[in-house]
Amino acid sequence: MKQHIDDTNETTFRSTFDMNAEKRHQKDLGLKIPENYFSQSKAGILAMTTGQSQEVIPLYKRKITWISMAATVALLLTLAIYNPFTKNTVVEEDVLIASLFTEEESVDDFVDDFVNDELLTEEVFTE
Amino acid sequence: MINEAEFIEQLTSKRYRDRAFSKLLDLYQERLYWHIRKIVVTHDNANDVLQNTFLRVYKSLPNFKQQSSLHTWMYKIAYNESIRFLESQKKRTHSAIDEVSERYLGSLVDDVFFDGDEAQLKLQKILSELPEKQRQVFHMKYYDNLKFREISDVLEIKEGTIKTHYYGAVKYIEEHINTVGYIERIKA
Repeated sequence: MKQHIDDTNETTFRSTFDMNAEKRHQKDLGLKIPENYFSQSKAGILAMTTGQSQEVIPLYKRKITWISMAATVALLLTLAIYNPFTKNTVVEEDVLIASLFTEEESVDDFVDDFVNDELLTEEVFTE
Repeated sequence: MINEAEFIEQLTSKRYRDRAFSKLLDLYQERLYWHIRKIVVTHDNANDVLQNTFLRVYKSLPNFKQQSSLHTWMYKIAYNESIRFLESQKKRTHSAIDEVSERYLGSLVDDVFFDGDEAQLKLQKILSELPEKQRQVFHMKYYDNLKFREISDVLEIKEGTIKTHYYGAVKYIEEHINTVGYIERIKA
């Protein structure tokens, strides 16, 4: 089926197009829409498509960056050191699991830095 | 004047895509909104599904094979997105799609974008009592002005079955409603 569109705003794209759709839906079904809804909706859809993409990427599809890796390790270490309700064995397992997703070298570097900066410094101050 | 093939070409070209997509919204946004609204009932839900529909259209345009008209293809996407929405509600509430639809209808009176009187509410109730396919066929034929052939393409059901659904819906409505003028219009 070939349909013709006008390149201007005037269009006869489809012969069955009902210009009174809104009135009909309101009259028969009692459905109404917010004022200027379609112009606002169009702007929103264009922003999500032709403009900047605001698509939400599921967590499982996201790439693991060094920031998220470091944040994960830092969180696990913090919990291991400061959380009195968590057994160390459990946290060690978590660290082990987290380390499987990161470069071994970067984990070692991070742990060394953390121990040097935080724990040793703290010990020096408390002496 | 350009024909549909040329319009689709613009929609898939890097140079004209944005402008053509804006035009596509002008042409179809309102029609698809009403199509969706009658399935998911409330305005807020229709707004969400409409956005998802056009996102999917935008992403899928490069793969559009033109086996059906652009019009039918977009209706099909809108219909599938609406059903996907109802199914997600069904999973959340562990109820059948028809039950979800009826529950929404129950909340219709609380929707700020519903201002129906007693007769309109009665018609909505009668429509909600129809089997899902009958209701969708009736909406597409009567309110969206789709042809039987097009409804057949959207729902992937034989045209003869579509006609049976439609006339079954008309008969049911006829038996249960006495709103002046409505019966005459749906039988026209």
